[in-house]
Amino acid sequence: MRLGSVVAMALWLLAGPAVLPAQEPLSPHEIVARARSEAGLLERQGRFVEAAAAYVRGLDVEPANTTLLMGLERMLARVGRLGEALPYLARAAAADPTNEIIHGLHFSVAARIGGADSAAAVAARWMATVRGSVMPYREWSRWLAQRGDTDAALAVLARGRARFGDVQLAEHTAPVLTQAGAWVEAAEQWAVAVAVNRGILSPAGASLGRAPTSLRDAMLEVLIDAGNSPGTWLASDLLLQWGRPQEGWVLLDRSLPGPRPEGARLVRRFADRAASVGTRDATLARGYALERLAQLTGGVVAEQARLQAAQAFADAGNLVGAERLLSQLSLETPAQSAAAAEALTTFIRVLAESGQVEEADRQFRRWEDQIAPGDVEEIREHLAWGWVQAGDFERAEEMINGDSTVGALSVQGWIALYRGDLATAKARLAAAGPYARPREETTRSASILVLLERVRTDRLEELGAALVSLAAGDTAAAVVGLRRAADRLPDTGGRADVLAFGGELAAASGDQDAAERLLGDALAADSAGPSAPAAALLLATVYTDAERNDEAVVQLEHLILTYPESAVVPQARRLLDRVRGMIPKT
Amino acid sequence: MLLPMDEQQTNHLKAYGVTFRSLKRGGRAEWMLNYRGGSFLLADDPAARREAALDGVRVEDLSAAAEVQLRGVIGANNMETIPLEKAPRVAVYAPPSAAPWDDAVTMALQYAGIEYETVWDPEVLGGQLPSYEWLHLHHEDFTGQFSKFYLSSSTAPWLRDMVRLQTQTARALGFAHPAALKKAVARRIRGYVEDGGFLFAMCTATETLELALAAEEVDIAAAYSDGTPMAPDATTSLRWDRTIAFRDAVLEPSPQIASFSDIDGHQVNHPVRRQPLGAFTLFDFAAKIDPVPTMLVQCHRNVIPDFYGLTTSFTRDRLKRGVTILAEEPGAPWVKYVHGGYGQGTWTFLGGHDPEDPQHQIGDPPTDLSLHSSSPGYRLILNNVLFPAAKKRELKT
Repeated sequence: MRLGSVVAMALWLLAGPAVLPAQEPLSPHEIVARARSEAGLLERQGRFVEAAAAYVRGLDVEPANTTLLMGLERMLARVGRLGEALPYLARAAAADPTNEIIHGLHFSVAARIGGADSAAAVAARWMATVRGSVMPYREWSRWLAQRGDTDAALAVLARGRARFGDVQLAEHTAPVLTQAGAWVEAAEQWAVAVAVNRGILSPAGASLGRAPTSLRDAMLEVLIDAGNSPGTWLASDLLLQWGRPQEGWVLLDRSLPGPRPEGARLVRRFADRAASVGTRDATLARGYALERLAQLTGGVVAEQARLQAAQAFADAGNLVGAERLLSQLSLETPAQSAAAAEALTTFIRVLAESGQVEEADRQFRRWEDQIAPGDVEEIREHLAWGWVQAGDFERAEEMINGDSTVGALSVQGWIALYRGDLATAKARLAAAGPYARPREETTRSASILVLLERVRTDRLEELGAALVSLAAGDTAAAVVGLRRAADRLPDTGGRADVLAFGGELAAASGDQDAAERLLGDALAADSAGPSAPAAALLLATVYTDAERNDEAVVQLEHLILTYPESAVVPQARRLLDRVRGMIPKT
Repeated sequence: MLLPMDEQQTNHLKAYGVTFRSLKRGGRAEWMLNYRGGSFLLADDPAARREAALDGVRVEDLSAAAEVQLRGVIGANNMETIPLEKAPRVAVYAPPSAAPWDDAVTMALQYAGIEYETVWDPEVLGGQLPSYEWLHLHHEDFTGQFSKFYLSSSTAPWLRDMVRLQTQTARALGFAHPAALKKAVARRIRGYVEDGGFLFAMCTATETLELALAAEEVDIAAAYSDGTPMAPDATTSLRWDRTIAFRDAVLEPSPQIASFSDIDGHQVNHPVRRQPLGAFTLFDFAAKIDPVPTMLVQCHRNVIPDFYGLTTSFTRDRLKRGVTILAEEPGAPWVKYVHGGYGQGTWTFLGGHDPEDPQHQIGDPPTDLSLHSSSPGYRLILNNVLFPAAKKRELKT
């Protein structure tokens, strides 16, 4: 406060009541403002009846004030006296007959209090008063639909459509038709609605996506025959949702609009949605969409689209497509581009992992000069794994010859293991540590290192052979091989651990009998060894899967009471709870 | 054997089961109110030790000297020891088709390994309640309106099954419709409490039981339930002298809104009145003076996140005088957990459906309590199960 103001206030206070001016009556605006303020304060204090009275004081001055009306409605609803709002709403509608907020509020309260008859009466007055508005048809039909009366809702919409035409109410008619199970008719209405408002393509797709399989082709026909591109785009979206992404892409591609920005937006949207679907077919369709996006755009956007398309093709196993895109990249992008290297790496990895290691090797040699040295190491590693899987250990070693990276050490460790040279395998895998690439390889290496630490011999060809079978995907042979390897080991010198590993593989492959025998033998060989708790838990799981719950309970109780400090005890308790019916089966 | 119930305990919920089963075998136990979260002292018993080990319940050995010291601590502080005498015979009022995973109490009992039997309308009307010491009400709608989901979920198979079962049961027992049957059942339940039973109810069973009692001669059910709409003067015709916990409630007239009255403070299914969830605080009672409410609020947490139910909470203004508030949301016009006596018995109401599924929706997967073995909300439920085990002398307040 400034000094002058302080002095003026002091003088005013000294003068006291003698100079107090006569109180001016409040203006209507001030009455309304005060009523709102009082009502707000009372509402916050939970004094809803008094708050309602304050809102009424304001409404007596401004009957059509929508803020006051909504406040009154809210307060009366809180105290279960909502019906008392109706006279005020009727008065407001008379005072401001073209105000659709008031009509809407009046309708909502009348419907909640009086049900269908009151709703119909208020909606009829609204229609008569604001003759050019579709709002009463929308609100009335929505209320009817929400209470499950779809026939009545559709009748109201039909009246509105007869008066205003299909277009204005299509967006509102379509969901009600969906609710009524009239899917084909709903598709017709959505086709009309999206032609007017392309912004509702997503909700339209979500609404129609739940249609029964038997009606889907008829709906697609309706959308495509609607004769407008947005209808076709909606059909494309549905095809993507319904597991027919490639058909969806073809449809969209055929109906892309002339102007590039809109076409590019639609293609990008399709590609993103295909990515979220995630199936192989959808990934392939995404590749095609991104390839088209590259054609519709230019510069960095096109380059990025090409890279993503190459990645999508590679992920979907379309190596021809990936190669085509990568060839285009080599012409247009700087060779050292990190993104290009990533796509190339994916491409070569996919080739190697899909068993086409010769082709992967050829591609690598073709592109090697254009790839950064750091990325070359990673690709070499993928190729080495490809050769290992192909059983050609020499070429694998050749690929990483002289490479001292952790990834190369890991490959070397596994090659030694496959040859039965356990001492070298242990040394190499331990040296590679937890940072070997890829991540799943790290986990696999850590697990096998634990096993190797327990096997008390430096050389065991049978174990290497079993692991080669496992790498080739022949679990049955691996299980037999592990039994053979275990037979060469003393009970507490790794035999129990190798048997338990075999049991784990057998259980995972569904051979429950073999699993039970192997795990039982593992526990018999060394019931106090480090692998015993995990073997006991696995054996209990085998029993549970076979619905031999009594045996599972015995096994689990023994495990928990015998190895209370084991890391598998929490898992055992959970399984025990499930077997005993103490928690739901999930 | 001390089963600590503070943060040191590794499985709070199963500790109740270990104690309950020990009592069932005829063992001795004491509830150390306010001592380390409401710990249990059990006579050393190999069977209890084995169960505790299997269930992952932490047990501490207590020497004679340590026990003397412990009793000294209890004597000098706001703590009390309550002897637990006998495992109560537990009944859960639930339809025969209900899975244990439909209801928080049956989930808790199942997980803790506490035996219970289910009773429903035929058993209640057949006079079987007096053979149980403790009765829990599944989330039943005693107004007979199928939880007011009839219009919003009319095509759902679960609703159709519920309507069929309730209607057939009503007819089989000689009632015109479920609303009439449920009123009769509600009266029997009130009689059970009056004669000395322990009643525990959660969620919508609390509110609708009271409404059914107040509406003995008034039609408060929607037309889809009994063929006639709610009486126009239903709210003013309710008789609150017949209820046990609430008073002066205003009924929700709309059959479309899955809300019954303004007893519930949160109104989860009301489009306008729904209130957000907060957290509730357990009241700190004087253990030596008020052992009963102290037992009911034993917990290792004092503030617990709230959870919705068809009835989530209880509006303060709707509580009868003399009702004990066990937990409340400070500053809010509602409370969460209430208790009182009626005739020779007692009742406890806890709002909400599932303490570990705060936004529970129909069709949600059931809660796996092995993932919530120290749930403070579920502890409140289990406090109620052990409460009737306390020596009768201690229960008189």
